[in-house]
Amino acid sequence: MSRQRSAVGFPAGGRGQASLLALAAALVALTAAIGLSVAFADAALASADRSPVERRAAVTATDRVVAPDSPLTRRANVLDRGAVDALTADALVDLVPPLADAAFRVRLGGRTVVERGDPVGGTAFRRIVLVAADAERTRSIDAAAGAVTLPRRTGTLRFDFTDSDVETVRVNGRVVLHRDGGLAGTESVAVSRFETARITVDGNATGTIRVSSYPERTVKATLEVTVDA
Amino acid sequence: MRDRRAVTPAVAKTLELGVVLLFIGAVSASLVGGVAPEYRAAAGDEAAGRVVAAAATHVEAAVPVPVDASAVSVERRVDLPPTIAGAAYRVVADGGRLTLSHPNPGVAASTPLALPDRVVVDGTWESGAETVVTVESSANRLRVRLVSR
Repeated sequence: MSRQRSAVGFPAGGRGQASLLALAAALVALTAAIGLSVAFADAALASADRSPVERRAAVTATDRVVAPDSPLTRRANVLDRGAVDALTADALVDLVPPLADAAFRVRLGGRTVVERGDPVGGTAFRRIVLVAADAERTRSIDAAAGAVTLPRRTGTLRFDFTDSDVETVRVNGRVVLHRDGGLAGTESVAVSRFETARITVDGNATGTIRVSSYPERTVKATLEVTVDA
Repeated sequence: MRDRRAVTPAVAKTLELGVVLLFIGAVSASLVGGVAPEYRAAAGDEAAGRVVAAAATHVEAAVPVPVDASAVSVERRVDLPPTIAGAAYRVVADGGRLTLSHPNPGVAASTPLALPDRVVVDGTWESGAETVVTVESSANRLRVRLVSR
């Protein structure tokens, strides 16, 4: 009997322990599998972290900055160059409260406009905007020639009558300036930005009038807001 | 010798049974007692952040763009998930912020609203109800309310 068993390879009393060993190995494998699954779940959860609050802050910031009622715009999606240059971080947080507790950076056309903290690894949101700036253009008009059409539209005209003798100035047929005996000094006139200005003077005018106009120049730029909450 | 041989398998099986039961008990306890609730809260926290961000975007979008418009009446439905981490929750607008309050303290989210100064926001959304945002003009301001029906 004992010879038979040793031939099979199981000494007496060792059989239960052998199967326990196999069980222990199985349980260790199972534990490893569970640990691995939990690690995978952990990695999946970590990689699903897209920080929606951060992204919302960035999107809202660009939305509020280009809104028609924003202090930085002239109209919807057209930023005012001067207002953007004067922008401070506190003014921006006042306009966009979700930026209050975050590090952020605002770039316009690749140039940093406002920065607070160091938003490394934050969420960036970009949109294309127009940036408007007024350039002053001054030209001399020969009063005897009678009429001139300005090449670019403007909201304001400034006339200098120092070297001229003019009684009446019309813009697009409407009288905007008149003085019996001749206009003197400088005068500013608001005109429509939505039509091209044609300036005419009265027939008896002589000399040279200097006219300054302030045409708006717009350039496209990318507005980029990076937020790291 | 023969008597003992008969006992051996019974003892072995009992031992195995005990070890396996212990193992299952330990694993279940650690999963149910520690890992699972922790992940549930973590996933719920992520979901809460998303819900609040989406809700805030809906509220801001409901306010009409010319903010100085005199007569405004807007009503929009906003879809919210009925539960987060298996429990109902509330979204409260207070002091210019949207805050999600949830029975599980591990699940929380809050975000400030970006709205012009003359807009005031109040009200509460209960998840599971029909959630609506209304905008009314009153006395030179816009009143935004979160309404549950």
